[in-house]
Amino acid sequence: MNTSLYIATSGLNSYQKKLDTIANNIANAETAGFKRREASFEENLAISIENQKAANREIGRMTPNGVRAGFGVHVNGTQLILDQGVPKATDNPLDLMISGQGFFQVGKRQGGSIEAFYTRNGSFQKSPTNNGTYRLVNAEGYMLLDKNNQPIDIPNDIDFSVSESGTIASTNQQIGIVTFENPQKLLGEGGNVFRYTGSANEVLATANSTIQQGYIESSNVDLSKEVTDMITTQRGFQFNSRSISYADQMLGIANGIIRS
Amino acid sequence: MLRGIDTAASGMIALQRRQEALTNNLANIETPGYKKGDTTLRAFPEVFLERINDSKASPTENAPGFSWIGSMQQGVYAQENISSFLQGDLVETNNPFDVAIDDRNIPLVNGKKPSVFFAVTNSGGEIRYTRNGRFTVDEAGLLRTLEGYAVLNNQGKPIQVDANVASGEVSITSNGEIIANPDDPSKRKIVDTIGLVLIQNPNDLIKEGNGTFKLDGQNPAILSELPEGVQLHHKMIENSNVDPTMTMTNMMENVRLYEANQKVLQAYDRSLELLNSIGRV
Repeated sequence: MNTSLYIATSGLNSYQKKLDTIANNIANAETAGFKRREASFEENLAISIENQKAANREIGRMTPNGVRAGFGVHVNGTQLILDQGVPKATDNPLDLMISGQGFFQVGKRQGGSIEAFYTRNGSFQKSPTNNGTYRLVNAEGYMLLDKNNQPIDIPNDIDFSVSESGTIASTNQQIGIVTFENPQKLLGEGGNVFRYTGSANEVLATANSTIQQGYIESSNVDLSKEVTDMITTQRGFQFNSRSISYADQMLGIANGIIRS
Repeated sequence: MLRGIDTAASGMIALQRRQEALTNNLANIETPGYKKGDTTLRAFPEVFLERINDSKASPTENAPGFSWIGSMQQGVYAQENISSFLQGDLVETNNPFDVAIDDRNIPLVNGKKPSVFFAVTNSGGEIRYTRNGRFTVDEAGLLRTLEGYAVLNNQGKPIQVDANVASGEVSITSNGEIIANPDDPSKRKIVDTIGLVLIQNPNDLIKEGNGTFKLDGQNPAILSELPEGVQLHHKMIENSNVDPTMTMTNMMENVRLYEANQKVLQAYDRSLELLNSIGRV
């Protein structure tokens, strides 16, 4: 059987996935704190066809006996690229940006406890509580957490000001920034937040990064790079579809051995 | 029976094998570290043809009544898929654990070009070789390929990168040293050195899929220092060395050769058809 068809189909599948990743990056080019992903390919398992077992009859061979044939390609992961995005000044005191590694912790109340999620998007709004304070929430309603994983309560009557270390003036609360032992375990949760799929002790507090108030971090998508990648990916897709039509042509030729 | 009918069929089978290899090259045009495979075709071993009952044969050369006409080959087969270890293009990626090997300037040894590879261990603990330098750090702090193979250092042990390094700024020098906090002289620290292996005759390598190769019967030592003409590039990967133009041209040519063999087969078929009609009244 002509396996070219299957090899080329695996190529089409992989290129389609890469194209999907690029499309998602481009769609989020203006999303604050968005981190792009990059698809990466790897060759499928190769098999060895033993068509001549007697090595002494294979005169002039350059490689060990057998014919190694690969079986196409697969996407072996879409890596999250954590480069810093360009800062954008907004002069809005509720906009925060992390300079350096790390993520904000935001929480959603699930029954009695608060489940923590992670985001680089520092665009927050006020959400009043009924006892003279307010909390910072993102567009999806997730509350900003301090370094002890508790929601940050800010009295209504103070001027909201955050130092570079994340300490909120006139209170003893500090915004928590965390890094991860393996950031590739972050899973997009929708709404520009991530869930960490590793264990809780792989989440590390960091003091190396600073917080800038009045800025938000734009996405780290470079449109010209993405569009270039999209063009080459599309060409790769075309190459594989051309392979399929060649394989089809060959099957047609084989079929035509017997003339009607 | 007509001999050529099987010859033409063997041609079609061999060309199909070649087409599969070309298709695989084309599918892996963007696979980092992929090395293209070239199929070589070889004729079936020669056989001698003899004329029997030949009264004019010279008694000195042949047995009486036999004479040799000459030799012929009765077909073709795909003998081997030779991976070409030519250097692929280096592409900048900016990923912190991407490393590319550049061994273009390595000197020839006995007319053969040696090649340099990363050494990795697979899940069974066996050493494999790869040119795909797209690495990541797992939760245990081990440097791994995206397929999960552990990358070895210059002592032959898996590279352990601690968590603070993995989430911080990392630099990898052109001789493979992984340096944490490269910009801060007080915290700057060499974590480990990536191990590389020099393979004198890369044609001995057996492709295993997932971009890895194995070497049967040989166990080359991991280099303690890089040979002349080899350097590593950080935040870059080596793209596959498949040339799309060449591959497309070869595929086109291959389909036509396949068709030509089919035409020969059909010609034999017509001869047989005529033969069948001899007895018709």
